[in-house]
Amino acid sequence: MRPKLRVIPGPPSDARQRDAQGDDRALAKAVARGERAAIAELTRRCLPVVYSIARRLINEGAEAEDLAQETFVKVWRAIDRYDAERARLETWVARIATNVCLDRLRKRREATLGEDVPEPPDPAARADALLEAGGSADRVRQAVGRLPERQRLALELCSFQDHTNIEVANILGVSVEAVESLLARARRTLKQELLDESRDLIDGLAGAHGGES
Amino acid sequence: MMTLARFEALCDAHGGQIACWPEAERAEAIAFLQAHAEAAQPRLDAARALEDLLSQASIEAPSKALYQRVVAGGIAARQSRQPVWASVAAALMLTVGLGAGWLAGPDGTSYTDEVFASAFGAFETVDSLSLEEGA
Repeated sequence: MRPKLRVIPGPPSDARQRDAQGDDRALAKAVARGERAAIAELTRRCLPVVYSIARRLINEGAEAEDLAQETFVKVWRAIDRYDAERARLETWVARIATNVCLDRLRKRREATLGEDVPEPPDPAARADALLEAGGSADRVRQAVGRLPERQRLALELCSFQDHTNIEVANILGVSVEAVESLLARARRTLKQELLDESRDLIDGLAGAHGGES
Repeated sequence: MMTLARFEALCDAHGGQIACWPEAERAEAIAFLQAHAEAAQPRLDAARALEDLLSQASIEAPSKALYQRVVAGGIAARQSRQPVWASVAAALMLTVGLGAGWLAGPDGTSYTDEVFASAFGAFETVDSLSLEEGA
């Protein structure tokens, strides 16, 4: 299944942007008042992206759920300060999730400082592990999981979620050019790894698309 | 001007769908692809193939139980943070209600009515006494 086609639109019209801002502002205010329906709606809109960020960065289901809940605790506390003119609600929540997850990873690294640093994996052993993993989905997941954190995040938000590069730049707190650079490096690494390891599969898939433009 | 290096960089940054590339570079990219298909097409195909592979590695949807826990946490968090004036207003309304209930007599006549009746009754008594004295 091909990822959802994400046509980069021109800048949204002023009227559309105002409508979206108004909707987000109204929802945030209703959440701040403690309205159940609004809290459920915000959760429905934002939980998938929050969970995906956590799962992609942490790669462990239970801890990802824990991080998703921690993110929403911060959202409920800070909702009074949400500014609809600065970001869409999903972007704002995704940025909180990103900070929560990167913070957890930093603490984890600090906790392991001083412990024995594991040796870098043997490439041959890694190839064996990939073969044992069997399904190409596992192989791809493992390859994505080995990318540096920010490249993984940019790829998750752009390729798997429906965010534009501008939104991703806002979530990661970097420029649009930096997002493009993160994506380019991530895709180059994956191409190298997955194309080398799955040449037959890739050739088959590429053949199916040959000649399209 | 579009070059093979730029075309490849766009494949890496934006994937294999030219429709998803920045609008300003799409027309040039399509023209470049038509003029240099031998070099450009394999790069575009590889980018598309990678997208197909990536689509197999998407993250599962969050569980319903997690959704319910998050919503319950949100309701608890926000309802406990309602402003102080709301509780003060509620307490005030309760006091007023209790006060009104206490003032109302069992037959619906309020104690306030009785107080007014006795007060005006006293004036009437004083007035009648004054008239008698004057007479």
